[in-house]
Amino acid sequence: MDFEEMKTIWDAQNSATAYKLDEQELHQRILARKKRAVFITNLSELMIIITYGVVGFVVLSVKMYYLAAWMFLVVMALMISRIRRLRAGRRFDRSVQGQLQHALATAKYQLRLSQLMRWNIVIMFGLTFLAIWKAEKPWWALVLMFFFFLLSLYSSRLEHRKYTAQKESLEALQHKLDS
Amino acid sequence: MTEKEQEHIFKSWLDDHKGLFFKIVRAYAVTQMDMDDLFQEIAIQVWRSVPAFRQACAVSTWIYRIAINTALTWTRKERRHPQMEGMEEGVSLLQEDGEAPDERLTWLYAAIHQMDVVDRSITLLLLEGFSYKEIAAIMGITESNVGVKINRIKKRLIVQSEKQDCYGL
Repeated sequence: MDFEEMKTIWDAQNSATAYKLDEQELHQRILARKKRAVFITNLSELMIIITYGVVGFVVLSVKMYYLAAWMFLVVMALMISRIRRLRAGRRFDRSVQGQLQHALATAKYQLRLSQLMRWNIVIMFGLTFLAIWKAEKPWWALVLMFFFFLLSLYSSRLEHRKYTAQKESLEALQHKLDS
Repeated sequence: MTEKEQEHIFKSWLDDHKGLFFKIVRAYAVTQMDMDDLFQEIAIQVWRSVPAFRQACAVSTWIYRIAINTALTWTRKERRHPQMEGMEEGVSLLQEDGEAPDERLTWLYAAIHQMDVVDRSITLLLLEGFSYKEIAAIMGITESNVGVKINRIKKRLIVQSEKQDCYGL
């Protein structure tokens, strides 16, 4: 079979209706998805910003100044990077290459963010440790805090791995497109 | 653009280019459940894209652009979570009409399925009659790169069809 014959077979589909469509159901699903979309897209970013902001004020109220200052710094850095990410999103065209580059830029951003948050956990551990040490709290408070940070570090590692895999699959696709 | 206008345009696009949606869905998804899921995803993205359409290209080109991008993203997602992705409700959006499919068309879809996602997209565009220039614009690659890929794809399809003829499948 030559390619022209394949094209004729392909074109023959246009005259035959292979499927029926439930338009009402589709419409309902689109509306439901629209409501969810905005919420899901920004959730993780906003959650970190709000949580750090609120906890920052709580920490400030108990006079842990260094830790509070660090948390506000993280909030500011996140807000700036969020604005930059949203602005950068408008740069990409609607071609497959453009959308792929956009997806790759987002994946790299998420990877950077998760790496930053991992380092942040270590710094937060140090500052909290110092504050508890100075306040002469019982030893079990330090042990409890240590395990809590260990757990956070483990979760962030899992998240980081997920983003790394995502970025690698996008890079593989980009390679296929360019080859 | 009001939501009503957006909906009206989307409905007319859906009516005029129904076949286009189905072909892409069938080329990327295998099971009925996956086809339904992908169709929903493409429909949502096309609906969202309505306000951004500036008539710089034909509607079919625009829809192809959105649909192929969505299908590529969906394929990646599907590969990561093959069991998790599925229909939200038990109702099926797409229903087969019951007509016996052309065996050669079924073979063609199977051959397209064997390709990687980039070649699959280019094959679809080529079969739809898009020019090299249009394919290059949709894919975001150079025309010469499109030419190289198309040559490779055509050769592969012809060899596969000869094998099929030999074994009488």
